[in-house]
Amino acid sequence: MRSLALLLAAVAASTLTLACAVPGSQVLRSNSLEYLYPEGAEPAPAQDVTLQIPVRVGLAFAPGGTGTAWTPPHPISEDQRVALLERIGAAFRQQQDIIGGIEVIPSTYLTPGGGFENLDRLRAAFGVDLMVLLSYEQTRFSDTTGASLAYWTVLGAYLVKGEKNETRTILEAVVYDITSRALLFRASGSSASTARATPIGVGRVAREEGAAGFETATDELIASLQVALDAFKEQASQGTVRGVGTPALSVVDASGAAVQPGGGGAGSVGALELVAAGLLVMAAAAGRRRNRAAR
Amino acid sequence: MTLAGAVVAAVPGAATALEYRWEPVAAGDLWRPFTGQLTHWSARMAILDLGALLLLGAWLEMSAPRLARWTMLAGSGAVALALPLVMAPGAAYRGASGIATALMVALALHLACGGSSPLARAVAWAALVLLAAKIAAEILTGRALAAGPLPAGVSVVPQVHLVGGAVAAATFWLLGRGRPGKGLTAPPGTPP
Repeated sequence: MRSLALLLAAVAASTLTLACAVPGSQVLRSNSLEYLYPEGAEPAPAQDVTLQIPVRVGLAFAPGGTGTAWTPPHPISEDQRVALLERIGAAFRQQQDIIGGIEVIPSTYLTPGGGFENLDRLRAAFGVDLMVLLSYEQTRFSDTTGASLAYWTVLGAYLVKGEKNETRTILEAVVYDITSRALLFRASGSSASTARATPIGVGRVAREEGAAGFETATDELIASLQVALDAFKEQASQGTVRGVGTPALSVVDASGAAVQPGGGGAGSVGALELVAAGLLVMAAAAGRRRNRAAR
Repeated sequence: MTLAGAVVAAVPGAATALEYRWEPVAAGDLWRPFTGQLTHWSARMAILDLGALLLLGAWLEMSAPRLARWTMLAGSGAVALALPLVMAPGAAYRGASGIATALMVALALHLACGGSSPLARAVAWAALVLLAAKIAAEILTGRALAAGPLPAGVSVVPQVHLVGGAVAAATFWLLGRGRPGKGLTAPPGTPP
């Protein structure tokens, strides 16, 4: 009788464990559009853009979800977010001709639905001209495989990886000129991964996969940002932000003089070449006079 | 060529339509690597480039017409081919200094190896050394030496000078190292 009671207790424990690992999905997201244009706010049209280079650029994650116990505001910690922003900032810093400084802005400075008024305050506080806002959508699928039968042994719930976690991450960056409210360019990166876990470790594996998904998506985002920035420079040379119908764009230096967008190369004869050319022609002329005199 | 460059400099908008830029070239504007060498960023730059081109080209044409023509042809072609390699996507290129450098090297080699006076040979070698040192310094340091003012965001491309100079040297060598009697230079005693 005692043995039967123990068996029933084990079965009940296994059933509970399985109940915790039912198949399902979880979507974690933050959205730049919802942050900049909150519901009910009147969207202000973008103005023409004047970029005074070098520009200072702010980097931040758009505010995340509701932040309840079941849906955390961000799937990764603030430290991890700052580390990702630093990596993206390092890629921007390579553009020394146009980027004067990078400021990583902690999430606490961004109010959900804060809109451009929030960005104006950040501009004043951090002295940034452009803002790179990162938004993401991470979907976590969880399925139970056939190996989960081993959970009925109780020990199997600790040893057998019968849970399959799939994580898909999309990371998108939008670059706004704060003063004109104009979207300059955007880029995105994504990742997808699958991992197996025991029902006991499924939460930990999901978090690790989630963080790894952000890392991989950030790699792709950085490469995509470089391409987008080059395309933006090319577009800027045409005088508009993103083509016909979008705000006009002019680039000036600190003194207000127009700058060649995208950079320019000059095949320019300098003072040293002129001196060399002058000496050569004088030497040739002297040689010619000498030849004539000899004749 | 100097005249064409002067016309391009005088007509508003012509420089933008003819300058080198990779994206229009990829879209089919195959003339831009060549016509870009006729365009300039400023009137000062146009005067210096075209002035050097006129001075060196005219003198070389009088002294060694065959060398002058082949140097112009090979120099402009080599610079046109080099531009996609040395210019970043999105960046524009303007300037005739690649051809001017080619003509300068050709004239210097012509003087140095063509039976001139010792003084002329010394001056020619000094000019070559000066030019080589300047190009090397500019490529190694990434900074232009005595280039004069250019618009913001525009920098000198010394690789173009290197290509022009190297092609001129190769042209001079291929045409018979400037020896009289090989058609490269006028033999002594021939009226200029």
